[in-house]
Amino acid sequence: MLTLLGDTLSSIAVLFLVSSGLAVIFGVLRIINFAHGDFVMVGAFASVISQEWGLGFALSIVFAMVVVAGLSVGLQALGLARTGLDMTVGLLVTWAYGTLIRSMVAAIFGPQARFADQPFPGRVTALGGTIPYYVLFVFAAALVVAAVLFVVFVKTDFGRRLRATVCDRQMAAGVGINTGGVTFGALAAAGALAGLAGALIAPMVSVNAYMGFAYIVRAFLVVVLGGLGSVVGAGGGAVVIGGAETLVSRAMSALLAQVVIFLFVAAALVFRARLERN
Amino acid sequence: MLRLLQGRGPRGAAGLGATAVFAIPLFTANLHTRLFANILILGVLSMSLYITWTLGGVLSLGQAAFFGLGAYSAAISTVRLDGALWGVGLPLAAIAVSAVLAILIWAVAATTKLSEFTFAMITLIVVVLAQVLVNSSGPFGGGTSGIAGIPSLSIFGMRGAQVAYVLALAVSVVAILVVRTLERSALGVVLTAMSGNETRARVCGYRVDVYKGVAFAVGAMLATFAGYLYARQNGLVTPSLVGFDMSAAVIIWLVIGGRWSLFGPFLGVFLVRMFQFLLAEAAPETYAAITAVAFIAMIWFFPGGAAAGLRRAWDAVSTRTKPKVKAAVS
Repeated sequence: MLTLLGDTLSSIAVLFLVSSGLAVIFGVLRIINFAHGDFVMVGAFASVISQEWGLGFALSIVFAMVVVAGLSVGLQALGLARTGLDMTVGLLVTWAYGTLIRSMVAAIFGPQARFADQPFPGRVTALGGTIPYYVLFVFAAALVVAAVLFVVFVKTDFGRRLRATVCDRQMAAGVGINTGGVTFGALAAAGALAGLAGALIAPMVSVNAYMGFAYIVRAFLVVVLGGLGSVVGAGGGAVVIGGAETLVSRAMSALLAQVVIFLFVAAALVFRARLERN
Repeated sequence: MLRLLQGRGPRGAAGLGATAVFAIPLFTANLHTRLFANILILGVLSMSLYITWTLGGVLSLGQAAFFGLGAYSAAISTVRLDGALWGVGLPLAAIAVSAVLAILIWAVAATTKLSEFTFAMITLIVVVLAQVLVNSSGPFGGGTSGIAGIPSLSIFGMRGAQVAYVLALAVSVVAILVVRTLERSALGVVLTAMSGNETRARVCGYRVDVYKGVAFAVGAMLATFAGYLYARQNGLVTPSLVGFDMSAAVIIWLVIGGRWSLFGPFLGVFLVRMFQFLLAEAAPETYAAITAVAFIAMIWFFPGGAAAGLRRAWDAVSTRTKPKVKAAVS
């Protein structure tokens, strides 16, 4: 029972971390970043590699965040903005960037899986189940990230400018907001979020160049469910998708879990559309 | 009109040349004949995305799910089940299921704002789901190892690589002619108007959503048919035929070949497959990286793909042979 709770918590936390970055990028650029799963993968690699260099756990997280933030901003400089508002082209180009990142990581670091150090060994045992301390840590970290994002969005000057840019880019530029700077900051933030997600995931999984795809598909589901560009929606979507997937796959089968989630998202979309129309 | 008549010389020569080129695989080693037959069938698969994306204006990430449905219907109807009724009925049922599934998917996506994005995501999920389904299908569906021993199609009792090639060529030609007819039909005119300016088409009273759904359904049916032929041609189906990698490959073919031309789908498969053939020795990562770079370059600098490049070269050649006409026109 407790084991199930632990799995659910970690699944929700990871999904939230991955999809919040996706939501931020969509908000400012109106682009679905298909490379986001590979951003997460690079974050995981960066943390594992830096630990192999002798960096501690906390520093390896910082390192991963910086690396992926750089990557995110760098790809923007390489022309993500150039695709403008065409969503389909944006999807394709970011997907190709993801493939490029993936193949380069595979070429440099080899195809074999790597494993990060376990920062908090040990586990809580109660009620006939166990939760590793690390899972609790990841969940707490996700809550902290959610709180920080909330404060940044609502209270800070940057957050206000960001929300104005997301709402109406031209209008925001018209009232003197430096939308280019805001975009830059948002991309760096989204990259840092992906790096953080990757670094936090790394101790729980085997890290390899092809790990991103599983995350991006579920993160897409989350943003489709939660509404594009909405970080609050990403939180809600993560709870629903992560929770439902873990529960159904443990109680029944992994295949059924996929089917249930899919039907759930389809039903939610139709229902929401009807709600909006009324 | 004058230019068209004048252009008859090079056009006739090109037609003869093309016929000769397409006859070459009949005389090569069986391995290469099969390679070309596969290129043609995968070209038909790309054509299915051409219908959905170029004509319908919506990008499907799920063509592989329909392709796989057709391929597995071929495998199950011949290897697992017996009798002519299954052999014909199951593939036809698969094509019908594809159409219904396509309409359902579009119906869900069309209810939302940003329907194109939702559509891309739903088709992505469908293809991922299809892969999970195939992988966990147990002995009946072959699981991760797939189903082998599918008998090839025969023409008048003849089988073999050359027969497969001729069949694939015939199907490709028919597919091109059918899509060309479709483009020039009343439906095609509406689709062209839609891709030119969707809002205007809507304001003119056309139910844009319905037309997009129809284009997607037709594309899905063609993909299923291509899957059926592919399985019969290769004698083997594996989970790699389903899944996102296959869907992505279809998009790559169409973008590289050129998604504004009827020949683009085939040209793309040909170029990518030949490149793959040349790079057979290299590591898969190298191949993936080069393909990704080529793909990005195509999207940015040559949105018309290789077909548009050929077209330009062709125009240059055919006007150079008649410089006087060009002068007179200009």
